[in-house]
Amino acid sequence: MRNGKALIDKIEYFMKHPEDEHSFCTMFSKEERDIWKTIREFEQIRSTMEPDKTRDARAQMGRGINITERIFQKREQEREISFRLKRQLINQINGLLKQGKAEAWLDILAWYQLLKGKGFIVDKFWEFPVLEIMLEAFQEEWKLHYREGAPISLLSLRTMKELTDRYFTVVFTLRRIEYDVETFDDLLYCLLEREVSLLVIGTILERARIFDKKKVRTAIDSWVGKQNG
Amino acid sequence: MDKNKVCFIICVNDDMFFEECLRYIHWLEVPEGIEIEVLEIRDASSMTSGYNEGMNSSNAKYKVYMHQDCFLVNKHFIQDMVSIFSSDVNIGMIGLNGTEKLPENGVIWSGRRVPESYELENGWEAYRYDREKDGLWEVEGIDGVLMATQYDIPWREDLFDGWDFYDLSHSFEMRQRGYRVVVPVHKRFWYQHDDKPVLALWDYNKYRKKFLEEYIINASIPLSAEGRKG
Repeated sequence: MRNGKALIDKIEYFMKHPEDEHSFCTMFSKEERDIWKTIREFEQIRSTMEPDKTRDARAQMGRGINITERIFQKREQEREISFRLKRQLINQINGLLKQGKAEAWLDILAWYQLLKGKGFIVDKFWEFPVLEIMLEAFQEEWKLHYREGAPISLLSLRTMKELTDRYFTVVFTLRRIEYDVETFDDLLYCLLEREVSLLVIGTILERARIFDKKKVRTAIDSWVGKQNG
Repeated sequence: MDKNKVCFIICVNDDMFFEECLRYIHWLEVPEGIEIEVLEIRDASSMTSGYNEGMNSSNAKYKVYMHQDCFLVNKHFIQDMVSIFSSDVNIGMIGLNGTEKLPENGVIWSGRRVPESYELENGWEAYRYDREKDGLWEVEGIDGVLMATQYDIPWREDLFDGWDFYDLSHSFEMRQRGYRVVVPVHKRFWYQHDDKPVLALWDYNKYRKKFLEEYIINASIPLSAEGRKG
């Protein structure tokens, strides 16, 4: 069975044997190979941007000269490749989400962790912090699925656009509860109609920019209590 | 200019966020006699050009330029804003986040900003802004998430043709004309900003250099707002 562990194993093998082009071609799909090549290219760019440790450079840094300039230069040098990697990764994630399977989500998790570990793009584009929270929610649902056979509501998402829209729909709804902008009964009903589990809502509540989490949590608990009679 | 009118001007490229932003605008308490207008600017080529288009399309005395992902959660925002502007004709612009002293590199978040979240005090849940008691911070620049004005001054689309530094530019334009730029001292958030929590800033440096060239290197006003507290 293909799963996130299998993808990590393949990636680890290739990292240890970068010269093994034959295995590389047979182990990865073309889309995966393209992402991998971009990651290698990114690493090369980063290696040429390592801090200059000469005495002169240290003296400049010590005097606070050009620090801002160096930070922005780095950003500009990484611009093209960051956008390319983002495009490739989102295409890959869209293909995986389309499968609607837990194993595909584990592959997404593996790609995300790989890029986060390398410090590439995940902190540069807003989609990835959202993805991280939804992956966390998925893992919660997945555990419950194996423990109690509960359905995994996030498997209904088919694209990154659907995923980010779902996330913000939940955040907006929770915030309306926080500020008493609308009646929360109606809002929570809408959420459940959209097939978002309470586990997902709870994970998003903890991670999103909701200031009065306690108030929102109490409102949800009260609503759930009413629903259960 | 209609002194009983408030116009919200918003550049829009995401309907989901804009609808949510509108929901909060329509939720605000509107003081008696005040008319509200919302202008959505679509397909703007830059923030400054969008805001100039909005500014020139409305006769409202009070204009609130804000991001589509800014949700006003101070139900009394309109009353508070009008009250601050009415208290001093020299106040040109109000922001909800700013800097009293802009760092020399022009990067607003590399220095101290006001307000800071840790300044929230006990009992803030029941807090209600009071202009007399709470007062204002005198700032050099404000963040573009929300910029409220009582005077129309052209946005510098000749210089800032992207999405960065339009906010600090407009702050300095206001101050060059002798107007105060202020942030109300508040203990509870006036807005929530779902800015999709990363700072991409791919073009930031280009506009930072333009800003420094225009307002710092060739400065016609002193950099610091200190000593002008009101």
